[in-house]
Amino acid sequence: MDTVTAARYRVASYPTILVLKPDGTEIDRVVGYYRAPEFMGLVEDYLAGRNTLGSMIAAEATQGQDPRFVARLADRYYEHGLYPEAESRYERMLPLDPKNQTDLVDDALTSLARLSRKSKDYPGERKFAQIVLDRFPQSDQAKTALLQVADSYKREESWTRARDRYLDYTKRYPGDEDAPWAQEQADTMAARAERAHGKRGA
Amino acid sequence: MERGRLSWIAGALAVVLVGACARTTPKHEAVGIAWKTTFDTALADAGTTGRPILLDFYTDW
Repeated sequence: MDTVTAARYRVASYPTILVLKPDGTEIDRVVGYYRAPEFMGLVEDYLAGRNTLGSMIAAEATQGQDPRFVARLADRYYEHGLYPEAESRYERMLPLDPKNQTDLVDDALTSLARLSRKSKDYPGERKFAQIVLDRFPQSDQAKTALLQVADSYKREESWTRARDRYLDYTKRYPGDEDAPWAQEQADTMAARAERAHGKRGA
Repeated sequence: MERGRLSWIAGALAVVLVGACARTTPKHEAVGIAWKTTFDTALADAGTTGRPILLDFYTDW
């Protein structure tokens, strides 16, 4: 069964393309879409033993203080479904680059929020997203972080808090393509808050 | 065309290719790809030929 093979290789998203040795052991994988030349470059690298996760793990001893390297290693672990290993590398990003000069720390924090959410740790999701909002409000991931905060409250059924964050999004990013969706979410949250109060009052 | 080659990414779930990719030239000329549709067949074939396997997990949704 395909699902058995997918589970065996910890395939978590599509498309994922594995490059395997003839005996079925994994050399490495390509996760997500790439343009054809880049895709072929990755596959050819892997077949030649270049840029594999294994080679990066070996290089960590010497490059483990370079935030760009650590970010790439974390992403690779993430793609391989090795979440605890990914998490511990993402956590090193903020101490390694506290001013976010690489522009990669907000991505790392967003990934940490996503990993927390995966394990249904909504306060954790919010904690990491809030660091992005507090420390790097101008970064690329600030929008995502605000939605993560809103969504974590929604998951906890804190409807009023969720509504406020979705409204906050529509105010901060009125022209954004997700603004109408955020407004819809805010309305839904408001209706749920009202219903919850109604029940309590009845 | 290289773009045509990418079409192997769209279609059924988990298709297996033995070898072909390893043999492509830098020019990436279009070649027909004989996908295996079960992993065990591909594994057996690779065991015989000693060629690497490209295992493609994808979806139609």
